[in-house]
Amino acid sequence: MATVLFWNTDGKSLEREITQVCHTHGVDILIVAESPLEAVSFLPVLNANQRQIYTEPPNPSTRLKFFTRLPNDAVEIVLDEGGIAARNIRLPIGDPFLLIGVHLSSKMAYKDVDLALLSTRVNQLVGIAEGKVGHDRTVLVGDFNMDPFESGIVGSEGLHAVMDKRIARSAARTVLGRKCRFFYNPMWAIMGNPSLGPLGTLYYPSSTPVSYFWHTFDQVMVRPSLLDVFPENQIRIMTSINGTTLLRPNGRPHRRFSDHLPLLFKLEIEKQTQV
Amino acid sequence: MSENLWGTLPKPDSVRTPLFLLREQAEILTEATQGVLVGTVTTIPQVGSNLDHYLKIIAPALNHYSFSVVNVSHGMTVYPVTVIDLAQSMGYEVRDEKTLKEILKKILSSEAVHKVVGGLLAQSRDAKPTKG
Repeated sequence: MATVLFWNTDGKSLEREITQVCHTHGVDILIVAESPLEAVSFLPVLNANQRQIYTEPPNPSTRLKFFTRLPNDAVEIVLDEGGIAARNIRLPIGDPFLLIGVHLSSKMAYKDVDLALLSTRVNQLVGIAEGKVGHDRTVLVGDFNMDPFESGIVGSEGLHAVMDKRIARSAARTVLGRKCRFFYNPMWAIMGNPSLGPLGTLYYPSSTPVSYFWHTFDQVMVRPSLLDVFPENQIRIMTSINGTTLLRPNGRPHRRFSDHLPLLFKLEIEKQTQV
Repeated sequence: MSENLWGTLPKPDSVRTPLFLLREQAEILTEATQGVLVGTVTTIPQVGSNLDHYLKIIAPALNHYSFSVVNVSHGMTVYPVTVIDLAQSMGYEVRDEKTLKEILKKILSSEAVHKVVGGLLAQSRDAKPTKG
């Protein structure tokens, strides 16, 4: 089992909150964006009274930081470019998987069309990373600054991340003569669903005629090869940490923490151990 | 003297709980691997009076990486218990200690669990010390 937490912390360190989540939920890999955390001061806090020690693996990314309690050499750098950081993860048990952290540019600076175009680059980089590691057991996680329904996420030239697992299982579809592989995006089912927690991961009320108010910019998506080890009922948009709510009384993210809510998921990767 | 209405109460040492059996197997693993792997049992209280026990294999040389092998859950009457083979995602309903031992034997001696143990032993042998 690998437990992964992603959080865009909006420039805040949130050392105490992150430490509590890591300990309470047994986080194996922590990915943070817009984070001022420095290993030298954060790791002593994170590792206090812990038997499983977290480390910061070598990391060339300027937009994402990784911390892990997996054994040495479990996290291998595959590529880094812009806000894309690909790591091949080797757990002691189970097949390796490719974990790609994503932090694309803010909608404040980039228009929708810019982000959609940037998605084609992400798609290319995913393909390059999968070619380098020689498998496509790939998980994408991060702050895409796009909602699941935007063209950069669903489009065949972008991430091609679909809402239907059965379609994703068909692996690919041909668009204008080119075979385009799918991702499965479980965030479709979580977005706007009050029974599963908050309505998104970020609240931004635009003053323009079209405002969605809630956005699900923070997403996790997997290639079909990981569908059987990806328990969707274990995906959590977290709204509280050890009893401390991350929301204001009106149910929106409290900026004292971050404008984004943390995203937690698990991979039962040991189930892919060949017997 | 007051009359004993309880009858002959069972002696605690005549009842071997699933927790006892799991701890026994945890210790056997630790001894058999000379401490390279450590068996542990974690108990998590569930809603109501249920208890959830997890038999885990810990690899100290791999930054205490843990692998959960089997989950046994039961209520206050102990039996029946539910056993889940976590390596192969298979569940069993067990009504007595004898059957529980048979199921545990089937799980712990399975090819799937032996493969995990073999993998963890080999990696522990080759592991570099963990940086702090």
